[in-house]
Amino acid sequence: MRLLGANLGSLRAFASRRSVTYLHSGNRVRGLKRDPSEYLRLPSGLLYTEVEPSKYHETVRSQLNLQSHGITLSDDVILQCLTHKSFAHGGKPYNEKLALVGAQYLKFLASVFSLKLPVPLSPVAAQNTQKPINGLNFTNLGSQGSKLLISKKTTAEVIKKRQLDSFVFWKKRDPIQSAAYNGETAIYASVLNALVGGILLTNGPEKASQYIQSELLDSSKDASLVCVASSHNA
Amino acid sequence: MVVKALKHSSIARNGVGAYVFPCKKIVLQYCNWGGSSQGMRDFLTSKRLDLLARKFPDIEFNVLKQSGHPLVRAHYTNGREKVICVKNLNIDNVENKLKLLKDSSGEILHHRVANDYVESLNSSVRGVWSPLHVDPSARHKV
Amino acid sequence: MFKQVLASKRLLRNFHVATRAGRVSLTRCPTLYRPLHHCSIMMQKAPQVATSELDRYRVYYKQLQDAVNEVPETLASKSPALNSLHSRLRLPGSFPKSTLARCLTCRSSQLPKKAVSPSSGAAFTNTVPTNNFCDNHGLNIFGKNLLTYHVSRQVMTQYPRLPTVVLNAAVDGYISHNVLASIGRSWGIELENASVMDRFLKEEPIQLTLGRLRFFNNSLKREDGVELITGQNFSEEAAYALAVRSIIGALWAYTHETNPALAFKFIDNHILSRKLDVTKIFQFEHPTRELAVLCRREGLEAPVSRLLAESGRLSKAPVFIVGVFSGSEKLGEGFGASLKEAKARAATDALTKWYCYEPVKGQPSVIDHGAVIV
Repeated sequence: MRLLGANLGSLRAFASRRSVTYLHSGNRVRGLKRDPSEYLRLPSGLLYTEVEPSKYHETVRSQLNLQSHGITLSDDVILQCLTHKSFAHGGKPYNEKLALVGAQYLKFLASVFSLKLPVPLSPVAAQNTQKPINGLNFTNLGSQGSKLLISKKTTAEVIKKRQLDSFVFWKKRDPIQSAAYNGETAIYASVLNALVGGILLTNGPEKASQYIQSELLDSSKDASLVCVASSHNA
Repeated sequence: MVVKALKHSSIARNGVGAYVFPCKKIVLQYCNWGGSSQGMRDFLTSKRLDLLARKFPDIEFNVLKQSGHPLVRAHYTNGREKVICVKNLNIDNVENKLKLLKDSSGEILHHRVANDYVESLNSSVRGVWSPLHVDPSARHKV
Repeated sequence: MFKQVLASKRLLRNFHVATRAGRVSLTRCPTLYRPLHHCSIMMQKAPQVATSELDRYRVYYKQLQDAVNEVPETLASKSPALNSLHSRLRLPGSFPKSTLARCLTCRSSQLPKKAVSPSSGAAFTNTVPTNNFCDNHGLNIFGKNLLTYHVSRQVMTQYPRLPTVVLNAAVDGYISHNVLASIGRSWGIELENASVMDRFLKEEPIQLTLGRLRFFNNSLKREDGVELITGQNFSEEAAYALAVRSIIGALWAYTHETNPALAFKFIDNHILSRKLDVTKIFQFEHPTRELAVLCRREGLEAPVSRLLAESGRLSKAPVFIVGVFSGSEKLGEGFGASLKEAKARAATDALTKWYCYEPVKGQPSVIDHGAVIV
């Protein structure tokens, strides 16, 4: 479709409707349609429409260890989980709602995890200890340690440790500014939450909880929430 | 410029899903001395209250001694209460009044006329007839 | 239930005593109420002012404190209110009455030190200061996590295409604290409204207070006409919501090993069975534009509005029926007193039908692409 150089833009003609669409690339001009191959591209050069399943989706699956837990995620869902709402002005499927339900599921499972720990996650004052119920340690809930377990900082760190950060499709608020200004942590946190949400909705709660317990809430795994949170705590 | 949300609360439908017995507490008030409490005293000393309490564990039964005519006072989960004075009633009538209160939903009783026999939160399944949706040839011209 | 009757009979005997005791104290020294109570609050500091009556009050107060601090199962199972609440909610036998009593103790029930000072008007307290060992703080946090997760997942499964704001509003429609408070009331949970002094004078058995909801001393407003502490955390509604969440959390804690689905079933039965019309939550700002963007995103033909029927165009009360079409498919229909109004209603109708799509049972889960951004 491209007739001329990138700066001149491209012309597209639809014979049936006898209309010509001009797609502009380069600096933004108000009122002009932008060339999709430009706004669908990450600064790293990855183009949204041309992700290769063998490179992109398979890497995500292997980094998350999905196969070993018998979890199947379709290519579309994986791409949606790694796409933030800011990308392409929400024009492509994005992860907002998956992240919402995933965050709540992760919060629930993390609270179950801290309930079942016999020792306090972080030191609490003696007058704040709570009577255990059925062997569940209710003192841990609401403590600093249990909050840290699912904080944005921790979840974002897990995504970085699993080297998925370069796969995330999102648009920076201002590319010149720092990562903190652009809200990088929130974006990566939403990606992990969305992946949890996607697994929950497609594979059901039994498989999802089994996966999260052995992959994200297992202290022996290096890139798990527990490990990252304890390193933050220290 | 996207869709916004309005605040909306869900409405309770007791019996869809769980059913919570509407009557939560019954207070039986009697006087140790007055003759009008004879039936109530008979009722309290008989086994009937015990059987009733066994049969309906959802209801809390309280017995109260206070001078004056005997009363049966029922509290409901909707926050209302209903009181029946059982003066000079015999033991069977007292029990009937108690059962009447126990079976009540706690709502105010009102006379139903032909058009409100059905009370529903759902909209009509059949829909509402519209003169503008009939066949154009049969449509009424203004 | 025999126990309940027994307890009630005891109450009856006590009531007799209570009225007598109340009358005696009133006739003897009607102004004694306030100073007597002040002494009682500072009793640990100044034991020398004790009289025989005061000693008995001190014992009662201590018993009350012990009962709330470490709820003994024997005492809790004597409470008629706890027994009937347990049975009304069909809680399993493994759920002890003492935990139910714990669910009804809010952390705010231990009065802040400031509020106890007589000058601020908190002279008649409904609750006793206790330790944190046996309140519903942790249970409430867990119950909240459990509820939010389950309710949002269920709502999302039922309506996969709801926009995020609407989804949040729908979840709030089920579990916001005022809805939970009304659920708590419909369960027949009662508030602890009598002050400790009143209960002492009535010689009310200790276990009766275990069956009532204890939160930040709510007599302040009633007694003095002054609201001492404002804010949601101390309101009656918040206390009810805390109790409801805690009961759900505790139910999970007792049944997650034997019957993990029970707590979720309980939420389905008591909370998700409520009626909520999600179409009423939407408020569109530019329905026609949003519909056009939606059609473009989904690869449908651009929407076109067509007049379907009209009546009385030149009269004072015209009616227009407009349908919005994409190609030959009709997306929605609306009425209105003007063409513009009818067109907007038609677009709103089409959008509502898109967003409120419900998959049928047995269909694999639908993953929505997200709401349209105009």
